[in-house]
Amino acid sequence: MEFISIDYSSSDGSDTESESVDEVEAQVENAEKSNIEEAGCTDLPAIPDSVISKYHITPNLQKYELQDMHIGRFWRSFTYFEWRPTPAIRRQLQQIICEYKETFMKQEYTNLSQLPDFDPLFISHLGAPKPLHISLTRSLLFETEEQRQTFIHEIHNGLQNHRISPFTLEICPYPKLYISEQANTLYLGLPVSGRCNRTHLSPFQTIIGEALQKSRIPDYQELIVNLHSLHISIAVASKASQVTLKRYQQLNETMGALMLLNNKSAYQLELFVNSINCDENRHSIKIPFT
Amino acid sequence: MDSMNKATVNIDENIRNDADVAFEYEIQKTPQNILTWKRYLEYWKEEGRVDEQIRWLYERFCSQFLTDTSIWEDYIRWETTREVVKTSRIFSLFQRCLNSCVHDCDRVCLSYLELAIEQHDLTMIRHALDLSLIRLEGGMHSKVWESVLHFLEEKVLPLTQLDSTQEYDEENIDEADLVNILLVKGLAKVGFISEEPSGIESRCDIWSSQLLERYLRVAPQQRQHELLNILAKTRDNATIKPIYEKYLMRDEKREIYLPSSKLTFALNFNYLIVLEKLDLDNQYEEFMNQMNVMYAENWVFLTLSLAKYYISRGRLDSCGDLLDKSLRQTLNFSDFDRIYSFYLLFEQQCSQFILEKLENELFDQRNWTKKLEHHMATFESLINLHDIYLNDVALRQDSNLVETWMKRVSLQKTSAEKCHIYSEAILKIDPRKVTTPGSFGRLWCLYGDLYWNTNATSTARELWAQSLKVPYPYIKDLEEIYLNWAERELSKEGVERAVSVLEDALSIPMNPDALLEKFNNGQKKVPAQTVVFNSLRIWCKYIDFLEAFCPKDANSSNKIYNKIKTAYNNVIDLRLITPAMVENFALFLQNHHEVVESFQVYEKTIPLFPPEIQYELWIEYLEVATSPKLTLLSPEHIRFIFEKALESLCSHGIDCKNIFIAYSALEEKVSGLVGKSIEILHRGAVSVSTHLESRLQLWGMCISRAQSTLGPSIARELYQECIQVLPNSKAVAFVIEFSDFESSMGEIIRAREILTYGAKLLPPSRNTELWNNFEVFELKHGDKETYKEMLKMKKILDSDMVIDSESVSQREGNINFVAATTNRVNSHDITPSNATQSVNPDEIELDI
Repeated sequence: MEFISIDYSSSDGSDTESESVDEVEAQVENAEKSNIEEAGCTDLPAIPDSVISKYHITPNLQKYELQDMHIGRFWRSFTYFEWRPTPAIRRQLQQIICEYKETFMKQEYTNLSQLPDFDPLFISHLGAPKPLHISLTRSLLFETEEQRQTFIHEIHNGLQNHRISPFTLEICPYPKLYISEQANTLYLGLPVSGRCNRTHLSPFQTIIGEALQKSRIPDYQELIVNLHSLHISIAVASKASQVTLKRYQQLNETMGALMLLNNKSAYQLELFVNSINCDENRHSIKIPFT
Repeated sequence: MDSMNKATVNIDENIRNDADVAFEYEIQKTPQNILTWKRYLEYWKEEGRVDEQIRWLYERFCSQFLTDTSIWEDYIRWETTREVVKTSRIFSLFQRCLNSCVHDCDRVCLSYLELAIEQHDLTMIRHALDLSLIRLEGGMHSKVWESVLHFLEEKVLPLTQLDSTQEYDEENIDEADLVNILLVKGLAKVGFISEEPSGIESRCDIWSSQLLERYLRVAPQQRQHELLNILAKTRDNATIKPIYEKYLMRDEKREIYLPSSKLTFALNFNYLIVLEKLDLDNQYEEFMNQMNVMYAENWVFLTLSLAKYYISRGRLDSCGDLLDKSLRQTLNFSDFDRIYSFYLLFEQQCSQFILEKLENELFDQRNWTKKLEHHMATFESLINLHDIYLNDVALRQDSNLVETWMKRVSLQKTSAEKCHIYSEAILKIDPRKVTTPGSFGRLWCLYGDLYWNTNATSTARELWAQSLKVPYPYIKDLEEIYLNWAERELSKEGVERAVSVLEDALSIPMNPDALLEKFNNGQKKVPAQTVVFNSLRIWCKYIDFLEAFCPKDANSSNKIYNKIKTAYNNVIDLRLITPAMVENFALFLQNHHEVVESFQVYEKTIPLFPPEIQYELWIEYLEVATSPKLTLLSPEHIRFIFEKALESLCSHGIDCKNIFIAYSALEEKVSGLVGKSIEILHRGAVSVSTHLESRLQLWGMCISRAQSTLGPSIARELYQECIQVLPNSKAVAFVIEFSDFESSMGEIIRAREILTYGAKLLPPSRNTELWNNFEVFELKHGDKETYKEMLKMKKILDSDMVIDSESVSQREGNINFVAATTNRVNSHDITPSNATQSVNPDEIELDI
């Protein structure tokens, strides 16, 4: 069972569009159909990463709506591995979501009303593909811009000092639920394989820890996501009731086991990681490994 | 001594008469008497002695007074008046004089120099200058130098500049020829061609340079720069270099000279030229670098100079690189044009030159063929990419001008190239610095359209979704994106997807007013996403989509139908509603059998508009409310609506004639109460908000209806009131009608009284219709007496009711716009009308 804090940044919380499961599936199918069509046209270049990174974060409208623009200002950042799934992978992810729901439905003590709608995180409600990510930290709040600059600079240095080179990350095909109780939100995620934790990911804990320490962030250890909790969220169910959350809490382990037993979703996802991303203001800074 | 001997030798030949003997005796006796010498000379000149004899006497005279410049001057003056003037003799006299005399040499010196200059004798000029500088006092030196400098500038330096054997004259030569000359020079240097370019060594003006060098040592400070500039024109580079270096900065470490800020750009540049001519390449390049740093504003000129230098050294690749780099740095079109033109010329000349040489000679053919290909390719590329280069300049000036990026996109041939430009634009544009609202959003749309049109819809969506994260300062950008996206989805996926795109924009926040205020006061710092819900364009498009796909028989159980109603209501709540939208909303509800609800729309929205628009909407509302096809409202309800309309509009001063008439007609139709119907017309006629023409019409209708239905007493009352409240000019018509009405009733006396009353409302000249009627009336109903009375009254009124504009003008001193006044001097026998006095005394009669 995994719990995530309220400031968990692994998905876009503004996506509150409620659509039925069928609608979402249809939407993904439509998008995939488009992607199949796209596969035929190779003359146009892909959207450059730099364009995606420049406007990575949507303007925070709540900031303008609820509070004075000049009060309580922090300098935010967030560290993660970004992943832009291909159309084929998006289809696989959709498959995983469907199978999870199917398994869930088979449980005797479950009824439809308790099953919240999962919106895929890899495609927007308007049908636009979205990148996924593995959060390495929680949302980071710096008191000054200089602190944040120091942090990003130290991440740079850390990657060089540890001579981090690109690697392939294995992702477990069996989804888990990650529950944000305070936000009444459920995330369906794919955990990062434990093998990778030891081999590839532990240096990042050190690098991020040192960077936070040098940028004078108190209690920085709490801001680093535990290696065992690393995952990719692939779907979100917002505004789930407390009852539903509790039900899922109980079922989470069972579900994983059931899916494993049924040997479904055996599709092994692999993610090639060659950079780490840090958010700065509205854009995302991609720091490549040497 | 020679002259003395000569004098002794010639004395017998020259002494011819007693007078001569007497003069000789006298000068022997008193040799220091100048007067005797002068008289002797004068005698001989008068005698017409030959020049040789007079010259012999002058020589003796000068020998006697060797240091007296006046005698020398006299001699020289005489010598210059001879029929055959030998300048060498005069020069010799000047020299002998100045060698002998020490004092009072000013005139002699200047004359000597003047003659030397006149004769363009460079040796003599220098000699005269030297002697003058020795003999003259310091104060006179500048005058001497000025004469020499003037000659130097006027006569000597131009000879050097115009010398055809001289190296190219950059200012006058055609640039193509210049490049060609430089190419010959440069390619000879690198061994591509064997012959020396001109075969003649370049010449310089050493005479001038040496004089200037001397003068620079003593010249006043303020003239130094001018002299240095003149010195540079001598092209005596070996002399110029050390002189200039005295004025330059010296880098002791590197043992080189650097430009001096104390010198002008032109002087520093002169030194650069000297370094080039002396083939001091390292020093030249270092100096050029420093010049570029110091004179950034002259960078184009310096760049072109450096380019020419490279050509002259045969370094064609360096020249190409320099021009290419510089072309990409230009910040204005003038600089661009200069560099581009030269670059093009360079590549063209290079290609032509190498081609010619390759055709005729066999010099490392392979290598030079490669070079030729390179230059030709560059030339072609320069021509083909001219517009792109120009666009580069515009982007360097302002990379946030979206229109320039659009132009750049239009210059690309393939969609892939266009994609690259779009993404480059997105990366370089700072949305807050974009000045044209909507342009950046449009750019995103077009970028996505490229993918969409090739069926890469998912990528297009990803782009547009990304574009919605840009913090635009203008709402128009978001409008462009949402509307474009929705249109595309509509054509490809159908209305539901299009509608959901627009709904993404139209989600109304909890506190819309606060967001709008923050956005409006945010000085572009608050992103337009905060207020996109307030976009009328998006709301209109959203409603259009929904209405187009709403079934005709839809009701409140239909999803689209409900969405339309909610959308319209949101538009009303946001106060974005337009009159056309009100009509559409009401019509939509009426078409879906929600007529009463459409009334609520009118009532809710009408107060949101200005009175003139309110009137139009009320008319429409009343038409619907009174239409039996649409509704069967109770009379009370309809009356209530009319009353509300009139109350609202009249308070804003709107002319409600049509509403009064419609209300009156409705009242008669619905209740059959004619009195009430007439009362409504009467209300309109007396309403202050009703315009005069409308009031006349309403009074006419009101009285006519009363006459026909309510009887004479009510009609009389209405006539009286009407005549009293209307302006005199308009009341007359009703007076005539009233009179006719009374006479038709047999009330002749009343009819006459009424006409009499009406006659006094206006001067007879402007009341013709009434008087005509009065005459007909008297002829029909009166007698001789009454007719006479009528004529008498008309006469009195004619004289009394003249508008005395002349006296008014005199009283005021000028002509003013004043109220009409009537002369009532003899008005004792004519009772003034209370009505005319009470109603609008300041009425301006505009009887157009």
